[in-house]
Amino acid sequence: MMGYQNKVLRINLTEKKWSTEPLNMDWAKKYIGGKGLGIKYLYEELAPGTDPFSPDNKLILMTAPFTGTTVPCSGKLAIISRSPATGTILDCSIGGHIANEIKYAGYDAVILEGALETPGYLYIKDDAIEFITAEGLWGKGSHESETMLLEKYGKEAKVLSIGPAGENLSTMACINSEYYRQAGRGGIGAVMGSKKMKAIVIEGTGGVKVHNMPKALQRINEIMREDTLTDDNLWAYTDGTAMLVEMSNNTGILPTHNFQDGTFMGYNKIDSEAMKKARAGKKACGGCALGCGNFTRTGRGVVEGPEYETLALCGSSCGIDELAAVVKFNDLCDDMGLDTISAGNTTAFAMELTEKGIKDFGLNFGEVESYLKVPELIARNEGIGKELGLGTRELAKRYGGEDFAMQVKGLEFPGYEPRGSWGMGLAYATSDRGACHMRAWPVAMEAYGDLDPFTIEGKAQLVVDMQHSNAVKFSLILCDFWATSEAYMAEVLNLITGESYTEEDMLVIGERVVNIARAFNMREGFTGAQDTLPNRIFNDALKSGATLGKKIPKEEFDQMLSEYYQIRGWTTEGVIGKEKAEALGL
Amino acid sequence: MKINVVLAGPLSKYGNGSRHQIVVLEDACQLKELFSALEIPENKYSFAVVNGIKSLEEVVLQNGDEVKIYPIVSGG
Repeated sequence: MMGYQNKVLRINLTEKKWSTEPLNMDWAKKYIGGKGLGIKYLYEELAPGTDPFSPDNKLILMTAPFTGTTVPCSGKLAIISRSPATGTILDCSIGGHIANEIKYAGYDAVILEGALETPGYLYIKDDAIEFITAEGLWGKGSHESETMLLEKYGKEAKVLSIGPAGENLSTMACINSEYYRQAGRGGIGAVMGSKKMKAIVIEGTGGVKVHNMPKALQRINEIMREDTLTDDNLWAYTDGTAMLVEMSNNTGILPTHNFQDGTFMGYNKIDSEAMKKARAGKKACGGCALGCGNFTRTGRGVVEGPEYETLALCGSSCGIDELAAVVKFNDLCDDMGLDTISAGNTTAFAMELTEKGIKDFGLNFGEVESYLKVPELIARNEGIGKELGLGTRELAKRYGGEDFAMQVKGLEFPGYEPRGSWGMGLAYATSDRGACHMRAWPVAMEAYGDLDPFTIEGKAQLVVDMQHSNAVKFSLILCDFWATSEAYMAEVLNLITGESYTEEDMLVIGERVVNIARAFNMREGFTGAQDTLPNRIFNDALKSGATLGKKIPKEEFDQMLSEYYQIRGWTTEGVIGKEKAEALGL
Repeated sequence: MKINVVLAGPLSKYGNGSRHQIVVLEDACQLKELFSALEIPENKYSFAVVNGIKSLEEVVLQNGDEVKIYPIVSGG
């Protein structure tokens, strides 16, 4: 199939050796690339029960057929491993230009195995691979590390790096690229840290062959005009995700004071209008026509973002209404290599533990000074950071507060209050990597749309459909800011590969990807028992705004989950049925 | 009556590029008539808030109301 390089680079870090092999094209036909193909490789290659921090765990960098082409919004890279935060499958995506460089270097995927004996980094230029000591880099922030590496290799090179959080194996450590882009969730940066890999520098000088270049160029340009550069997608350019602060506040789903409420008094100090006054520039990923990146400059620093998730979890959920403080917290997290969602969520949880007198962390809602110390303490594994770096689930095991530790399977909630969008609760509960907004985003139809957000009716089917659509989208590695259809996905895939995928094929592939992720988790001992939410969602009513008095009755949640399993062809315990597995060719 | 309108994000194109508009309507008009006056197609907005409350398009507007209209969003 065209669009692929038909080559995997496999690197054994323990032995400092590498080899190349053909991409498994049978798998590529069934899983495409990115999320799906990465999970398929890990499922086949990782022994069940492998400790995420063991050298036996793998870190897979996976591209897709669109990577390195002119297909809009195709500049992201998928990174796949077993999560140290949850023990589940973990796939993250990261923007910028690093994915293109891997493809231009001649590879569809880079699979990292084993671990270095002492800290180092990799330099890959086409078929030349060097193992280099990280002396002088280890212990430094991600920003300084990237600057040093770019000074050495030039700006044509692209860098993946970790900060001190990854080095110190924090389960909320991320992988950075181009300073402000992150593969954020599930402790993917700690997997890299466990392999003593400070960075990967990649340069490629090749290209990507597509099936019919003239036709592909012409049609992709047309599609960009008719389906990408439209009002439905340009909100990310004009306002950025910060616009969701106001939308969420108005619909009562803005996490406030660790999800004790859904509206925040100071929302308008951290929303898109506040950010526009401090906007310092724009940026786009490779091959992107939308350009969602917004730089914000305040008295406390400059950052790309903050994005909505950061504003919600590190802003309103921590009771912080000072934009400059959120910008600084964001910048510190980026430099230290921390996921802002989990770092903000855990900080808010510690604030509530302090407020309730359960455990005094010296952190209080709305207090900036102590809050700004948190990222570095977590990343350096010092002071209260030693405990906060464990995340909300582990913190609750030590001190209590399980009912309001806002996590699923050990992954902290993103910025959408499920009591104001009941389908979102099901999406969090059933996501393959724990509480995640990237697997299905029903808030767009519920809180932000026409569907009644306070009912379970129709929500199981909605979540299933959205999970399939996103699973295939992330296997093509298209950014989800391009709200496209399966019909367009299939058309563009055929232009690039020369194959004849249909719209229906796209949804079957999406379903297959969801199921192999579930199969991976089942093999690691997960059952339906973990597909649930913290008790706060079932027991505590929200206190103000459009969600005043709202909670999700547990029996209704259970019914919604049961319907979800039934639609999926899974057993009542959430196990993939034999018929379904056979139908999908798992 | 006069309605103060805020057009969020790309919807400002329905206000000649301006985020803030004052729209004059007949008394007791419904929200959907405001959408018509601004020529915003039904599939181009996600929801509207009248004086801070998410509202259905049948809601009756009053003189001086503030209406914020948000675009379709994707991603998150």
